[in-house]
Amino acid sequence: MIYDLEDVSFAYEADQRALAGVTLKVAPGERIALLGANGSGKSTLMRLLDALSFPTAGRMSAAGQALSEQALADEAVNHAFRRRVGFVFQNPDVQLFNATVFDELAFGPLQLGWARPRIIAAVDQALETFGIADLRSRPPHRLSGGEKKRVALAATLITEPEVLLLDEPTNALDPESRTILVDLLCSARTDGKTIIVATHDLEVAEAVTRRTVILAKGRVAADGETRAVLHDLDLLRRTHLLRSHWHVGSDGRPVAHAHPHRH
Amino acid sequence: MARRLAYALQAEDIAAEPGYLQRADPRFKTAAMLVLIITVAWAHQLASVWSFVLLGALLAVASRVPLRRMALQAVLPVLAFTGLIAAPALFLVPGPALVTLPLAGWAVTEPGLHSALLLVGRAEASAGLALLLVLTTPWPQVIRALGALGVPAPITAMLTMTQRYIFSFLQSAADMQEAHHSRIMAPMTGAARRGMIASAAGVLFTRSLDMGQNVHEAMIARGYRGQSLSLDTWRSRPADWLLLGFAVALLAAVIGFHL
Repeated sequence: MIYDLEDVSFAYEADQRALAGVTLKVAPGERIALLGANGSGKSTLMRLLDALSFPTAGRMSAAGQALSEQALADEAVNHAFRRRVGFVFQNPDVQLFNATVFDELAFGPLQLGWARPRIIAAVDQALETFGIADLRSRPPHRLSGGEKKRVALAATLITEPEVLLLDEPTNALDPESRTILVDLLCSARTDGKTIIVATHDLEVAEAVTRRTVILAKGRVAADGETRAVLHDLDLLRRTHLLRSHWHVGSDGRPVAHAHPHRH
Repeated sequence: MARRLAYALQAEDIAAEPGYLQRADPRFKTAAMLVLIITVAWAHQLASVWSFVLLGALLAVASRVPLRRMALQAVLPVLAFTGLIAAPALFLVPGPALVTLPLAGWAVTEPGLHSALLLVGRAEASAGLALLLVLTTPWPQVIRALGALGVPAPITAMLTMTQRYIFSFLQSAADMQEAHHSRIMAPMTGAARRGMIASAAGVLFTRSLDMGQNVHEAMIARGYRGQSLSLDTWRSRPADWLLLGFAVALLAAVIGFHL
């Protein structure tokens, strides 16, 4: 198993539980959507999966290695884990902290101790693959929202992690940038990788993943095949992922109903 | 606020111009400018010092840096600040009088004028050369050049982060100001304005703490373990050596010939 979570709970404050008894197994190569309304615990679970926070209760392991603060304090364990897992943050401004796009892409490989020629070759290739070669010397504050997301994704994928965690990848993107990003996630570049996408964009979940886990109030409310889960309208309504809205029917009269949003 | 942001961004556009200094290797350019500034400090003849002001202007023209910007950002502020400091020397340094002020009856002495012009000239030349370096070099490259010249990595990392996020916070501050302006119905009193500024500063401070925490986590997620590493991809050209050689030759001449 890539991830094995057993009865995992997490609380930011003693009386503020973000996750409660989450059990989840992720096999290599799986593509999973983590759905849930705002405050359902998606981002917290993603932070746990990237070992940025650790469970306050329960057990959690990645590729057979227990994930805990003590375990990650070991240089070798930390290096192996960071080499294996890449995380694309919800806010790309947080992730793009280097002076230029080139430096941003070189950051991960430098930290992993790659040789200089290998880093330069990898950066050049990533710039081409992600269509951002013209942004090479651009500082991050001069990128558009879509460009920032692409650079963040390129900077994460450049180290070729086995596991890719994406927190709200299409948040605040225009339709074109969103399509480009989804295409990248579905491209050969991510073949064979384990992908976990936290989102409340049902179309992205359907396009990118095969399995969907729905979180509600910090608990797993559903776990199943994406298509089946996304067509369970009662479940989607119960977990606040769908609401009724108006359509104009063939007779010209407005009709209120709920459905996964595809027109 | 928005004007300041635009001003800062305009500096990046100047750095991208195909001018003389923009083409130079940032390491050599930084070293050459440092040597020139040291040379100015060393020079003690008026003609030598003011020729460095002229050199700065020539380099600005060759590098397509608008002289108006040089004047607004270096010449005038330095003149105002250093002029204030140097003004008393005009009257206090003993020596033969050149002119006497009509009403006050204070005499401007020859050595006093020399001292004042020397001080102002040094400040103008140094500020002009430093500004040229910053305007013709993208700030990240200035920082990396400092790293290449031996400035410790934690300091260059701190400068990089500051430069990277100052724009985010400037933008946030400008957005907050606009949002506030869009909701006020009448002119604000001084106290209300001060309250608004204090509140905005508090919000920005909280955001910066939050951002700092998140950025650190993003760094850890990509393997950061407390050591700043960078990839140097610069290649020096003969012209870069020439620039540095010219600066060193000037320093040697000023020291050797007591210029």
